[in-house]
Amino acid sequence: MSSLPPGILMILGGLVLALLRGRALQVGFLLVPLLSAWHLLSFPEGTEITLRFFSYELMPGRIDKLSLVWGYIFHIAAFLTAVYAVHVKDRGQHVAAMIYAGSAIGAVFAGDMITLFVYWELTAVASVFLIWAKPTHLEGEARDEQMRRSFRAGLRYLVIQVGSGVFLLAGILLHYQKTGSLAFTKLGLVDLATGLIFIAFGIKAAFPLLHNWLQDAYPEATPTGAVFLSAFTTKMAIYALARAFPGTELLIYLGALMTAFPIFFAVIVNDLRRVLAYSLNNQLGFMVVGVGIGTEMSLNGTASHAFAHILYKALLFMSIGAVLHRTGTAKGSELGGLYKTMPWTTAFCIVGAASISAFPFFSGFVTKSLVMTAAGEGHMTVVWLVLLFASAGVFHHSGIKIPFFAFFSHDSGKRPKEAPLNMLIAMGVTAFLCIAIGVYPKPLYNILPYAVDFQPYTTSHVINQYQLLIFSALAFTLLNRTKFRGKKLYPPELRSTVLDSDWTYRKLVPAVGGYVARAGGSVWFGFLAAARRALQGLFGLAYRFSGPSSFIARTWTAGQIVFFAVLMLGFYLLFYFL
Amino acid sequence: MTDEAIPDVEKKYWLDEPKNVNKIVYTLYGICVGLVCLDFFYHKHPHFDFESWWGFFGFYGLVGSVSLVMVSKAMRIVLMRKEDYYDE
Repeated sequence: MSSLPPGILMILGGLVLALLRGRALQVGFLLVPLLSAWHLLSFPEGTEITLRFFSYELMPGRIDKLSLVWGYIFHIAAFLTAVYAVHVKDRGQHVAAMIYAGSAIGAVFAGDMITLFVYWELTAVASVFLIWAKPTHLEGEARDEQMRRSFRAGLRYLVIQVGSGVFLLAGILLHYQKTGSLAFTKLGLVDLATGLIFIAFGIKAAFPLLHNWLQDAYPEATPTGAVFLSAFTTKMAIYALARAFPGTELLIYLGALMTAFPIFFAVIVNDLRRVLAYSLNNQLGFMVVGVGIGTEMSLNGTASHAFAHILYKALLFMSIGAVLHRTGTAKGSELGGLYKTMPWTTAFCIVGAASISAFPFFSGFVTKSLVMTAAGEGHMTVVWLVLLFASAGVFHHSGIKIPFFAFFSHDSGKRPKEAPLNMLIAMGVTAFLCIAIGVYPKPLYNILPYAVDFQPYTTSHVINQYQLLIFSALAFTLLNRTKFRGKKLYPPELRSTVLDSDWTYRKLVPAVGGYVARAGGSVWFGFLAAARRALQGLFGLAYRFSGPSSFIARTWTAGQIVFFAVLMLGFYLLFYFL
Repeated sequence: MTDEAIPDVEKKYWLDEPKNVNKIVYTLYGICVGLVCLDFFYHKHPHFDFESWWGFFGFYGLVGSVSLVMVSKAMRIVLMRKEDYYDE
C-alpha cells in the first residue's frame, strides 16, 4: 500500500465501479474518493516513491507541500462532486469521473515527467466521456440534438487535450536529450524543449487564444460532468506551471490578460455554464499571475486561490447544473424567477457568487488578496490595475449575472422543483466550506507551501473591497434601470452564439480548407484533363503513323521493298566512304 | 423535499412588488454613499499613491464595470451570430 503512489487507488476504484450496479455502485462511488484520501493521508510529508523502469529512474509519487495542496483539494472536490452526482444512473459517467479525478491526482504527485505525461493524457481521455455521456436530463428530440452537439464538442476537446500531451512529450524528449534528466522540477522558460512544455501546460491552463476548448466543451457536458470538469484539468495545469515555471515573467502578463479578456465575453454569452467557463478562465489568470511573480507570497496566493476556486467554481456549476437538471436549460434568456421554487439552490448559488467575487468573509477574498498584494509589493502598477478591474468585472458577470438571470430577473414562468436532496447536500457542504475558509482562513494558510505572514482582514482592505464590489453592483443596477431610446442600457440575454477563437478552427480553417481543396481540386483535375488530352494526341499520332490504316501498315509490293532496300544500301555505302 | 407538490403559481412573493425592488435599490444607493464617506475615517496602507485618493475603489469599480458592459455590448455587433450558427 505504502509503495502505491496517490491517485492509483482512485483509478483502480473507478475500474472496480465498472463491475458494480445499483446501490453497490452508489456506495462505491462515494467510498472511492474517501479511500483514496485516507491513502494520501497515510504518507508523511516528504515521501518519495521511486520506480526503476528499464534504465530510467521514475518517481510516481512525490508528496511535498506544493503537491499536497492540490492533492487535498482534488480529493475534496472528487468526494463532493460524487455526492452531487450519486443519483445519476449511468455507470459509465461514474467510472470516467473517478479515473479522471485519479489521474489528475496522479499528475500532481508525479515527480518525473514520464509519469506526468501518462496522467496528463489519461485525464484527457477519461474526461471526454463526461461530455459524451447521455444527457439524461433531456428527452426526445432535445436529447438527440444535445448528443450531436456534445459529440462534436467532445471530439474538438479531445483533439486539443491530446494535442497538449503531444507538445508535452516532444518537450520532454528534447529536454531529456539535452540534460539527461526526466525530473519534474523547476525548468524555467529557457529553450525549445521547455518552450514546448510551457505550451503544453498553457493549452490546459487555457492561456489566451489557447483557451477556447474550455468554453466550447464544458457547457456541452452533462450537468454533473461539468462540475467534475471544472475542478481538475485546468488546476492540474496551474500546478504544473507552479512547479516548473515559477517566476517566469511572461506569465505575469499572460495571466493579467487572462483575468481581463474572458469577462467581456462572459457579459454577452447566453448559456450560463458558458459564462461560468469564461469566469473560470478569468480566475485562472489570477493564479497564473501568482506563478509569474514567483515570490513566496504570490505562490501561496496561487495555491490557496486554486484551493478556494475549485470549491466556489464547483458550487456555481452545481447550482446551475441543478437548474439544468430540473428545467432542461441553462440559457439566461430562458430562465428567471426560479428563486420561488428553488430557494436553497438560489442561496447556495449566491454563496458561490459571493466567494468568486471575493466578498470579505467569503473564500475568494482571503486567497485572491495574496496575489493582489504580491503584485502591489512588486509595484506592478498596470498589472495591479488590470487585476483590480478583473475583480470588479468578475463580480459583475459571475457574481451578479449568474444568480440574477437564473433565479431573479423577469419571471420565466418556470416552476421547477427544488434540486434533489443529494445535490442540496453537496451544495450545502461546499457552500459551508466557502464561508468557513473566508471567515477562518488559518487552516488553509497552514497547508500552503510557504509560511504565511499576511492578514487579509484589515480595516482598509475590507472597506476598499466593499467599495469596489458595491459600486460594481451600483453599475449593474444603474445600467439595468436606465433606458436609452426605450431600451435598457444593460445588454439583454439573447439566444445567440458569440464568436471566439474557436471560430478559427470551426469556421475559418474548414472554409479555407474547403477553398483550398476546391481550388486545388480544380487545378488537379485540370492537369489530369490536360494530361489525358496530351496522351490522346500522342496516341492518335502514333495511330496515324503505325495504326492498321497508316503508311507503314500498308501492303507493299516486292518491287517497292527492293527499291527501299537498295536505297538503304546506297546510303550505307555513301556514309561508309565518307 | 424533492417530492413536494409544485407550489401555487399565484402566490405573491415579496420581490414581485416593484415597490420592494425599489427599496433594495435605494438601500444600495445608501450603502454606496456610506462606503465612500467611510474613507474619511480610517487610514489606508497603499502600495500605490492613487489608492489613497478619496473613493478610489468605488470610482474604479463603477467606471470599470460600466466600461466592461459597454465594450461587451459593442462586441456583440461584431461577434454575435444566430444560435445555430455552427450547426449549419
